[in-house]
This record gives sequence, C-alpha cells and structure tokens, in this order.
Amino acid sequence: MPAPFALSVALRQMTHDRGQTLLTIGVVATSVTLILFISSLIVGLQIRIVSTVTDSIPHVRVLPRERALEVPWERTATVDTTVRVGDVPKLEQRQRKIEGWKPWMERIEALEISGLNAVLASVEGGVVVSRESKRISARLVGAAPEDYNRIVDLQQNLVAGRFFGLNGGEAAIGLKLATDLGVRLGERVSLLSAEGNTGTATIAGIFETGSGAVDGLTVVVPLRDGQSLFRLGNAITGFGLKLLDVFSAEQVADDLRRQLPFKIESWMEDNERTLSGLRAQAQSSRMIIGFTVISSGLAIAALMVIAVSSKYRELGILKAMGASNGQVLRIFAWQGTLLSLIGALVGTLVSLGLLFWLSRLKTVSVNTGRATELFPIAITLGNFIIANGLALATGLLASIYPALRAAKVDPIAVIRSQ
Amino acid sequence: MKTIPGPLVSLEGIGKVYGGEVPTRALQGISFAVNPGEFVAIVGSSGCGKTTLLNLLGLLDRATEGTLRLAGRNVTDLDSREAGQLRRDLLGFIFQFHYLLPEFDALENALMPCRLAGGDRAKEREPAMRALFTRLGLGPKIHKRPSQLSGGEQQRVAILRALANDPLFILADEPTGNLDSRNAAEISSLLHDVTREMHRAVIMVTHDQEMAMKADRVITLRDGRIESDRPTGRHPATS
Repeated sequence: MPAPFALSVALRQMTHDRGQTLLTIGVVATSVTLILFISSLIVGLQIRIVSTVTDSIPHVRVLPRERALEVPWERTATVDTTVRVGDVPKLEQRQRKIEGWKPWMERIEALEISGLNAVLASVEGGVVVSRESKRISARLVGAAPEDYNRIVDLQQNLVAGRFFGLNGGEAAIGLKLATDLGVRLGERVSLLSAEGNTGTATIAGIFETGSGAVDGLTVVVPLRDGQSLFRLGNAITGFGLKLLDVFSAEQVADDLRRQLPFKIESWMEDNERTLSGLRAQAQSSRMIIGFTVISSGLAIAALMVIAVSSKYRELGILKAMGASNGQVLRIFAWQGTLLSLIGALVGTLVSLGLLFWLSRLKTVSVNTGRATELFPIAITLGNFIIANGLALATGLLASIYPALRAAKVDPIAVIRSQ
Repeated sequence: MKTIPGPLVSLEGIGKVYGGEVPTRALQGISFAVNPGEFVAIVGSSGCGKTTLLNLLGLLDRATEGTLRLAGRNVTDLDSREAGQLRRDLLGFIFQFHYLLPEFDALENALMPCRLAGGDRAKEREPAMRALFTRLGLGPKIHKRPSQLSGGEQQRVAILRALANDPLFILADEPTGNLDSRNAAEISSLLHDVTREMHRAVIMVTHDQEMAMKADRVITLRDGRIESDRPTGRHPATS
C-alpha cells in the first residue's frame, strides 16, 4: 500500500532539504542530550547526596522520650493540686534509656512496617577519644557489628582490619578519626564518656564511608562495651530502623508515633535543610529543562516556518489541484513528528555515549587510593522516557503553527503572484 | 474515459463583486458554455477580469451572482472541501509557472493529483502517463527532477500533471507566457491534441493574441463583461 500523500511528501521534503533536516534534527538531538545530561546528573547528584546522608544513619530512630518541663500550674490532677508560693518548674524523671528493650524490638519487628530492612538496638553517646596527648570528641556506638552493618555498611568500607566479629575491648573507628589521633591497627585508645566513665579499646578496624560525620567522629564497639561505658546495665539508648525507601521515613515515623510510647525521629526531620536544597536543585533542573524545551520548540517552529515560506508557491499549486487543508497541514505535522523522532533517537544515542563516558571517569582518594565516580550519573529509564516524550511533544507542537500557516496558503494569491 | 452529455461548463449571468469599504465589481453578466472537444481562449486587457473568471471556473473563488455548472452540476455555492474534491476529480490546472515539486521526479509530479486522490489512483494511471511522457518526447526524462529539465520540458510535465486525473476540462493560465516561441507552439499543439483526441475541453486565459487565435473560440472580456465570443474557424465543426 502506498504511503499516504502527506507522509510521502513529508519524507521527500526531508530527504531533499537535507541541510534543514539536519539542522532540525540537530536542534532536537541537542535538546534531548541536554535534558538527559542535566537530569541524569541532577538525579545522580541527588542520589549521591541522599545516600551519603542516609547510608550512614538509621532512617528512623526510636528514642526514649525527652524530659519535659513539669509546670506546677499545668500539673495533671493528683491528690494535691494546690500551687504554692515558691513552687518552680522541675524536670520530669530522667529517662535516657530503654530498659527491657527486647520485647520492644520484637514489637517493632511485628508491626509489619512497609519496606523495613533492619532494626538495630544500640547505645550511643558522646565520648572523648584520646591517644597520648591527642583528644578528640567523638560519637560512640555500641552495637553488634553484624547488626550495625545493616544500618551503616562499614564492612564494605573497611580500609584496614576487620569489623565483623569485634571482640570485647575492640573498636572500629573512622579513617579520619584514626588519622587525626595518629592511631593504627592494634593500638589502644582511651575513652571518656560525658558522664565521666572511662574505658579503653584496641583498634581492630578502620573504615572510610566518605561521610565526614562517620569517618571523623565515629567509634563502634560491641553492645556490651557500650552499655558498660555508659553504665546502662542491659538498657539501650534507642533503636535504629533502616528502610528500603528512604523517602518513606516520615510516613513510617508517623505510624510509629501512634503505636510506640517513645520519641520517634526521621532522618528527613533532621536533614530538612539538605532536603530543601535537593528540592531547590530539582526545581532548578526542571526550569532548565523547561527553558530547553521552549527554546528547541521555538527553533523547530522557526525552521519549519522558513520551510513553509520557501514552499509557498508549491503549496498553493497543490491546493489549486485539490489538496485539502488537512492534507497540507499533515505534511508539516508529519515532518515535525518525524524530525523530532529522529532527533530524539540521535540525542538518546549521543547522550548514552556521553553519559557512559562520563560515568567511567574516576577520581582517586588521596588517603585510601580508592576510586569513585567523578560525575554521579544516574541513567534511568524514566529520564529517557521524559526526554523523548518532551522532544516528540515539542516537535509536534512546534510544527502546528507552521502547518497551520501552510494550510492557510491561498491558491488564488499564489496564482495572482505569478 | 468520463463522458458527459451536454456542455462541460456552463455560466449563466455570472458576476463577482469583491467586498470591502468600496465594493469592486470584477465580473458582470458572464454567460457562455463550453462543450467537450472545445479549446476556448479568454482574452482581454489587464484588469478586465480574466483571472477572476479563471478562479471562478477553477472553483478557487465563488461567484456573487449567477449560476455555474460543471458537467451539469450546479457548483456555484460549494464549500471549500467539496470544491477541492471537484478540482481534484474534474479539473486540470496549467499555470504560467509550472511550480513542480522539486523533491519529486517528473513522473511523480505528473501523478501528483492522483496521489492527492489517494488509494491506488496513481498506480492505475501510471501506465497511461508513461505513454503520454513517451508521446511528448519526455520518455528519457521520466525520472529526472524538475531542476534537470528545461523550461519547455517542465511546462510539458505540468500539462501532463493537469491530465493525470483524466479531467473533464483543463484551465490554463498563460500556459506559454514563460516559454520561447518554439516551446509555445509545442504546448499549443499539445492542448489541441487534448481537446481533439481526448474529447476534453480547454479554457485558456491569455493576453497573447497569436496564442489565442490557435484556439477554436475566443472570448474577449472588457471591464468585466463579455465583449465578444467568436469562433476562430479552427474547430472541425466550424471549419
């Protein structure tokens, strides 16, 4: 079956006017490349920032309730509700730990939290780590290494020693902390808790996660050692939850608040500024994509208006021969669609090549010699669908105005102009 | 071949007034008929209404007065869609400038009205068109692009394009105005062949008296009216 009239004319015009065809395809391809490059880079950057933040912390924390002010005049009904002269606000009974935590842990696990990856029972607190004359404030985490690793992957990020199977009296510390202290594997450090309790630990592992907060401030010891240093007995200071979808943390935290008598925090509350920055970045990216789409649409429309103008007489004669407005309109609608389709395909291939090349560029850590990607590229199917969909829609929309102009060519005016 | 009893074209009291702040009358009381096998020339000085009449006959414009019949059908008040369809099916156009589509070769250009009609029309008409190409000495040029043809060859292709859909009559607007005398004579002869052999009608607008005298009949317009309608004596019926 022969191709429809409009399609066959559109194809012929495209192959005949090669310069213009290549120019239009170039505009679309450049737009698609730009959209894919920007979106892949922004998404990659967001993934890297979010994972840098969330990989090294629990996504949701279950903590003892904070002490609240107990004000005499807001005291709940008791036997004696009289407020006396001299009464002052006082703090509630101090409660910084969770006693009898194992049933609570079982309860959390039984809550069927959607996308729950791991639950960790741990003790955490501030310590001063010292080695000879050097003293550095750090955060000590007491937890079973294998369990803690499900929250923060230290085993994978070990640069020396071991993490799994830490024995009592052993610790794993971040590379920056170790460097700052001047401590190496097998050497001992002293630990001083905020409450004045002291202890020592032998460095059994050194890790580098890439997060400054983890590498420069974290000491991990077995749970029992942590409990001992903070004099907690069998209690813990909280639970940490790791989720498969980091952005569901707020929802999970809300659910837990209704079901547990503890203070619940999500990483999203603690990192509102980071998230706000990411949102601003995503918004900027959308604006750049929007302007790219508009400029490419205008360029396509301008090129096609020129094409229509250059074919003014031929179009007039076609209409005099009986071509309908629809047939003439479809010639340019087809051209816009086909040029956008080819441009999108070329742009996709160029982008894939460019993104693949960029994703292979590495930067090497001065300290560890480990290589990481220079550009955080995230190639997603969604980005490709969006970029190609935008290109096609832009091409089609941009061809409407020139196509309408073509359809309105008056054959009488063409004949008079002879 | 389509055959129609009676005149192919019939105009009764056709008039055309262009609107605007000051309405302008272009044509008034135009009445004539054209039969199959007739070659009619319309002449007149510049601004006498020749092109307006051609536009009305070609269904490119509408008359404001009178009745126009093509092949017996009243086509005075067709909408643009119906008019386009009739132009495609009944009429063939020849213009002073050929305006062939540069992206298509000679045969494809000639078959363009059939492509506009869609379906297998172009395929059906291709053998007949190839034969006409050969007859006009364009056989070797059948797959040449317009830019590879001379002015006379381009105009001959344009005439073949006007014949592609086997139209009932052909409207020609200064078909030789852009050609040298040798090519003009060839085109004139070709138009005669169309009327005689194919039993079609040709209505040609021209300001070239010599070319007009090669027609069977000359209608002279003056100030939008028919000043004279005379046979030239070339038509077999009148010679």
